[in-house]
Amino acid sequence: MIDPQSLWIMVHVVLLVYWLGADISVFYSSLQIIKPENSPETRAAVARVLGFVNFFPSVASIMMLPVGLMLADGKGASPLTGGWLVLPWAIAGVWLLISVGAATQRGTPIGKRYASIDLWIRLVLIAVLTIAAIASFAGGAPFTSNWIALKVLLFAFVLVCGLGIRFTFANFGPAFGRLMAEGSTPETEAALRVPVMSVKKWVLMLWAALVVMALLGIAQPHL
Amino acid sequence: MELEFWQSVIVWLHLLLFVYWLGGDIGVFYTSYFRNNPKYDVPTRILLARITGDIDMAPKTTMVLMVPTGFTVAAIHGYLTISSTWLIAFWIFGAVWLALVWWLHLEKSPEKKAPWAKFDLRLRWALMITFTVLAISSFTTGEPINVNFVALKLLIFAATIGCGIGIRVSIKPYVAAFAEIKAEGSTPEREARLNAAAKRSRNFVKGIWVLVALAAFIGTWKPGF
Repeated sequence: MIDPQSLWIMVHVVLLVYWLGADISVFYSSLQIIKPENSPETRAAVARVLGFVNFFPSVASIMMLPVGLMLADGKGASPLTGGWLVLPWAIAGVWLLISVGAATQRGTPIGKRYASIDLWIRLVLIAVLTIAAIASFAGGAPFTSNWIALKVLLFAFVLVCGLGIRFTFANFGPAFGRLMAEGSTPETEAALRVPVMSVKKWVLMLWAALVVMALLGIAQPHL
Repeated sequence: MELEFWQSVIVWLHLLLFVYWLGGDIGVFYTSYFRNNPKYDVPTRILLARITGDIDMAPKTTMVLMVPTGFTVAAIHGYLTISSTWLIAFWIFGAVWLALVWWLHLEKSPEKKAPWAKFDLRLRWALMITFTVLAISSFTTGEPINVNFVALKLLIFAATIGCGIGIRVSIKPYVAAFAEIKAEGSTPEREARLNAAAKRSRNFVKGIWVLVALAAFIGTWKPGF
């Protein structure tokens, strides 16, 4: 029989597939959207593709945390064990619904409410995960393996990068709306270019953190 | 077993290849629906075709590199009887084949490409047959692979190469129909041919997804049978 830990590893890896692997399509398409030689109609089509594919990383990133905690429990390195594991799953479930709500109701008052709750969840998680990781390095608890604590810290960093992407990209939507309404002007093209170009560093840092996390999970070094 | 750090790095590369193979395919797959939709104008569809073609280099690259990383991971775990000379040969082969795959993507002249595309296709046939033979030999004699789950992974890999060949063959009417749409515009007949070919090749794409995910699952599970 297959042991549950192997199944969770598989789920963990598949989530990385839909996160990191799907991200290259999002990234590459975003570079096509800012090219003035493509017509607004063409760019609108690319934007639709991008919006759709971007759904995969959004969902995968939220599900990563409870699955990671299942694995940490399997290693005996996490305080969340037995019935306590319901907690991260419940949080992830609610967070997922709120995040999907924010994406599908974008621009409406309820969508904005969802987006601000989503932002708060992320801020709280960044704080909690950072404290938990540092406490684990310093005092051996809550996580008893340092490599797992380091993955927790890197996950907090990934969430920071995600917020960096969100804030850098905030000006893109209005500029894209202007492109659709008024056609291409040098000002609009510049306004489209700036967020895509400055979001790059956040995306690259996020990817770097994810691949390092993958290596940590495989090597499981004694840190 | 406890892995040395460099061995972990090879396993990590093998995992990242899986990530970019299956993950890159999502973008290709969904973009292709937009590309095949007559609702969009021809320049849009040409750009979407370019985007799918470029993103498709992720799965194409990873598949090639699966050969050297896969054999090396098997050797690291002692599942495969192989000399280091052979392993180095696999890495050189992977590098050369990868160079060919990228050259076929970047080169614009169809005349220059044609003989090498044919060679690439024959190479895939040869690899599919070789890997199938190696897998069956491993099942029956324990050579060169001494555990069945790894031999099964090799057989599955051979099947993904088969699906890749299936895509290349079934996509031919698509390429012709898309070229006509590009040159002379969309007609219902051309769209029908385009979408019929796309539908056939999607079955092979889905086949690859199932097989690649299955191979990953078996690699994680390591069943003894």
